[in-house]
Amino acid sequence: MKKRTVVLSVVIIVLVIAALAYATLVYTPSETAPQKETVTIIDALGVAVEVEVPVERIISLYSSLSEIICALGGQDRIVGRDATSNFPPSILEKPVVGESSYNPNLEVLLELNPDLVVSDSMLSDETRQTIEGAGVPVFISTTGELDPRSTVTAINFTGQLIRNFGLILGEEEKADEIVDYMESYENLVNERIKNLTPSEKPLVYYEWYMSWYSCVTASVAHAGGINIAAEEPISFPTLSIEYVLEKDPDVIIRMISSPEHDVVDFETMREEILNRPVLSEVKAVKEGRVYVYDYVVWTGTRLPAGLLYWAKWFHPSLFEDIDPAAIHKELIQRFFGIELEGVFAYP
Amino acid sequence: MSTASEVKKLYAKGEKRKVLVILYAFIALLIITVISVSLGAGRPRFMEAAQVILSKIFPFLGINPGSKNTQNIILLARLPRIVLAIIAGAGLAASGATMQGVLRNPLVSPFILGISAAAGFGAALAIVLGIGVFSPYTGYIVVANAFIFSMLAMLMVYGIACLRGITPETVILAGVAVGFLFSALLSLIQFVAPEYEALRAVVYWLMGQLFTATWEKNLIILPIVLVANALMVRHSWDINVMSLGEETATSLGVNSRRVLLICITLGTLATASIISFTGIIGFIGLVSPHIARMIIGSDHRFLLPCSILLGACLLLCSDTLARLVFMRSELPVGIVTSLIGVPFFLYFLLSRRRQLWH
Repeated sequence: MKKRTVVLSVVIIVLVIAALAYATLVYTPSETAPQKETVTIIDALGVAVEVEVPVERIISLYSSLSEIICALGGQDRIVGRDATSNFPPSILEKPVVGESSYNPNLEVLLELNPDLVVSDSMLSDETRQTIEGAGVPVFISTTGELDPRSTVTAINFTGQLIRNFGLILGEEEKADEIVDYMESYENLVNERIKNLTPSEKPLVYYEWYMSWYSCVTASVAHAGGINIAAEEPISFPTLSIEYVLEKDPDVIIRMISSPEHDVVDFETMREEILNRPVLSEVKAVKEGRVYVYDYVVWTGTRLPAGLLYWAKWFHPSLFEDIDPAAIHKELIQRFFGIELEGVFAYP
Repeated sequence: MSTASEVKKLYAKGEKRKVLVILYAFIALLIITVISVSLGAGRPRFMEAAQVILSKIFPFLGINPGSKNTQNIILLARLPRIVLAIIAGAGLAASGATMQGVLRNPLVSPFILGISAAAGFGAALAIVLGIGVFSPYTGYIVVANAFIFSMLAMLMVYGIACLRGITPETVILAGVAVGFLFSALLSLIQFVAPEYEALRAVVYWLMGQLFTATWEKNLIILPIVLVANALMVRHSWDINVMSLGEETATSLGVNSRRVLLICITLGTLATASIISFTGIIGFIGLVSPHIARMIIGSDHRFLLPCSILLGACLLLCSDTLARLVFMRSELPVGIVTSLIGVPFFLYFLLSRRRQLWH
């Protein structure tokens, strides 16, 4: 009997000690830091991302979001970026963790000890899991421009994004101000084009960064034009030259995307299109309505500039009083406090 | 009653049949061309197209050519492309047939010297370094680069083969090695390409397409392909003799090594000049000679013309389909070529009893 009691007490003692040891190992006191508030935002892939606010150390692998965070006054909280994040220019002094979100250097990224990583959808699932495994939330986004079939306008989409980041940066007021400003121009365009009949809208051939390479983007319609590629089954189709001739577009717009360019590149690009023999009888070429723009005017906080450029090209008489270049300058001054230089659209 | 004259008769009968086959292939090409001219995303069909073309060829007949836009659709969009498909198909098939013949290997294609990878690398280099000005329409720098690197690959293979002695085996193995070298370099370029757009343009180039055809480009490619094809056909008897083995060939007065070098140079030159403009269109050069061989046998005097016509038919068919599948937008022809070429090839492979190889 006695022997049994001894054995039992030993077993109990051992168990208690083991449990205590286990508890100390697992338990890490959280009282040392004050409990942070968390917000949950849904990213572009539908993942609910829980973020402790306000975030202090952000790594941005997506140029549009880098720009938005800076516009919200959060530049000091960006601790790392990808090489494509190059606006506003002051961001260039931040350390680079990779060429793009496609191949960030994970060691460099984690060493910067971020508490939020934001990226576009080129970030691979594996990379995302690794970063999240290290306890860092990851937020993925695309702009309206990158999802060409979205019926939401680019400004609407980006507005929501700006509000989300206003929330996690604790800059809600600033976010509202920026979104209101952007939406005011969208409303202006909507107001002026809303009564146009389809026959009053120009047919637009939108050329991306290669000849005959187009996009189904609804942004053309949002600016009051009819995209001749809108019905294509492929989001980024190479249009048949015959089809373009058959449609006889009223306006041709072409994107320039190389990182460095001056007015000569715009002229060269426009001349190249004007001089394609096969386009010689197309209305847009005969009437000189061929326009070249820098893709940055259709990104982030600069969307109103892109929208106004297009709207004015499509409907010069309706937007006679609007100077898109001046508004572009104004919004850069307003959001980033810098003087804009360079050419972003031609002619 | 015996043999000599009967054999001769039989032989003549065979030859006559072969000439007839070639004639049929030519008629088939004409029919496909007419169909192709009559179809497209633009409105003009057979009648309008015929009017435009006839009014250009015979201006004195006073045929109404239709609107300027219709003329542009036919003359600047549809026709140059059809002509390019014919030239490219013919050139690739002739190169394939000749190279399979002189290297005595059924797996050989015009890309055996690694020139597809080399051309791809050259094009990628130009695209990635010059994306700002890149446009398939004016992109002669891409064309030039692709061509230069294919020639470089050819010279490298010659260099390696010369060190070891020029035989079919050394040429093939050196070609494989050079091909791997350039495809590694191509991957490297794609991996370090700083811009997504450049990467996409490279991938696009590699898929091969004919929609950027212009008369200007056709005028550059045509003479090269024409001369190369004519010279290859001229060597077809030598290739026949070479298939009996080097010793027999030498005893019959054919310098195998010389013929090998000439034929490979011609084939590579023709292929490089085509793919520099169109991107990699692979399947035609491998498969047209095989189909031709199944139909007409391995006498290269007939095999070559037959391959040329079949190659032209196959590429023109593929490109016409590539134009019509989505109607308003393009499908890279390289994809269609294999999709319709494979069933066609398998049909011949399974239904013909003729020996597949010599």
